[in-house]
Amino acid sequence: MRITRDDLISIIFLLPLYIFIIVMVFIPIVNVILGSFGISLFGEKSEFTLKGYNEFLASESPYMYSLFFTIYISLIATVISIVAGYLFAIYLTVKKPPIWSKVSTVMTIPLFTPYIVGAFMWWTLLWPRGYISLFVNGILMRLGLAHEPLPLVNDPYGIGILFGEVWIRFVIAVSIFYGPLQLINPELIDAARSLGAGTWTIIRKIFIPLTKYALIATSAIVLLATMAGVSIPLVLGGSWPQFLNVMIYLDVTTRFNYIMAYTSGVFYIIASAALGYIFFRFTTKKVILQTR
Amino acid sequence: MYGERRQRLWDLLVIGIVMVYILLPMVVLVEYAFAEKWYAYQLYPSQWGLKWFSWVFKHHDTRMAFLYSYTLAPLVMLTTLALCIPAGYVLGTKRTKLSIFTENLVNMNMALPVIVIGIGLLPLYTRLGLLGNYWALIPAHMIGAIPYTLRSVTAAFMQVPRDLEEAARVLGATKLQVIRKVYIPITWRGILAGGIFAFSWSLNEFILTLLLGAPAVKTLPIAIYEYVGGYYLTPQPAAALSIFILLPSIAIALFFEKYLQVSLGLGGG
Repeated sequence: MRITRDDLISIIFLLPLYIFIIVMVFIPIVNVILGSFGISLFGEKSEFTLKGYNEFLASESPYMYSLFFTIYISLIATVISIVAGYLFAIYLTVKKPPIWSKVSTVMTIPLFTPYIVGAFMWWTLLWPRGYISLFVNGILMRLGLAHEPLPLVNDPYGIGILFGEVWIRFVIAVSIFYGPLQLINPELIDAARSLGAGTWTIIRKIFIPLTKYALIATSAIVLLATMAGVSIPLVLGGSWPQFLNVMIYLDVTTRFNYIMAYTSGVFYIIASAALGYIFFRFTTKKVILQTR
Repeated sequence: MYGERRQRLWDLLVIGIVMVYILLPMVVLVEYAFAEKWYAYQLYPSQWGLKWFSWVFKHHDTRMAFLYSYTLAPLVMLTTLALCIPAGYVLGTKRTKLSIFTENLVNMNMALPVIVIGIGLLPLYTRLGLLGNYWALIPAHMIGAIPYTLRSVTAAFMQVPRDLEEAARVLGATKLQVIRKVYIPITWRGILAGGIFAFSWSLNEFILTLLLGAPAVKTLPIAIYEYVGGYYLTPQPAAALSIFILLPSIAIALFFEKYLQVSLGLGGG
């Protein structure tokens, strides 16, 4: 095979990027995978072991509990964000409210808000003196459903994490859904209406089938981002149960239990690979093609 | 007529609820930042002022956090662009198998959780004596910035018509003239957008700085975290600090929306 001058230029121009990815991404990931088996890439004392996996998968393991808690809360946050975001994007598409063009920029603010600031903002609303906490607990106690204020942040149920995550993911969902929904032929909706279809029938029979790949891809990316983000569970989560990534952070900074951090990291890599594959598989072609 | 009015009321209700939902956390943040006196039994502050902003500037740690954040961000922007412009040129102008493979490889990075890369880098940084090193945070911040910047720069180079470069060459333009007269006028917007993405990412980056930089190098997000995530909770200085990082972020969002017609999530982990 002959390398042309063009190929050589391409290689020279791409080389710094490849070196960067190898050093800053590939080697760390290999280090995490090998480290989960007790093998070190950087010359520390290493010995092959399955201790990390045995401890992770043991019955009543805090790591398994954390993994389930992470998946459970992330799934709830994803469902809320996707359903609310999808319905809102449909509302904007169908009703085309004139006021929207004046306020649509506001929707982009959470996209650019640092997660740590977003988490802190929700903390100020949810801590015992926060407006939402006072409002919700006031209603619950007045109705006799609670005898003492319910903790809405740093709580064991993940309520605080849900508030923080949904605020950001809802906006991401609306931004992604809005594009594919605009590509649906409005005559289809008019035809369905004139044949007597109600709003829910139109959503079920027209919108969902024509945007199902966008729905799958967005759900995958929202779930992945929710599972992987550290700032929100770190600030809004409770002392127990914790998100798996918070466990990883505590393992390397306070418990110095590197093998467990690496083992948890491997579970994250597997989840990311699966969800990332779904996202890129459905976003490369089908999201656009299906609606045309 | 009645139906139209009812529809307008519905629009106001639905969009109003969404706007309150989006803006309420920010309103409360501003309230905390400007609250000089706010007793536990009061619903809102009894005295407003700039006390917490001056408090922020009086402390060495927070002053350094400003310095670190706002010097790291332009450095990350420049180094990311230095890496992404040549790569983006290849990916945008030569659609070969290598280009597509490179794009997929970079996209794959976007799916990897930053904390996993961070704990993988930790022993490498320790071994090289780079923990807590200001300069070593630049490549760490670039990890998250590169996929966004590269996309933007690649898209910019894709807009350059192949024939335009060839026509310029046929007419005797030198390589430098082709870059100056053909490439720069068409690609500057995309390159600028890519640079601002990198700047914004660095300003917001949290977990890698926490793992690889702190406690020696604390940026603004780390300083905010220390006020709310530690054992003592002091929301007022954290709110004042947040304003300094939120305002540039909002300005960048508005700039993108108005001048570059793009929007993208840049939460920074």
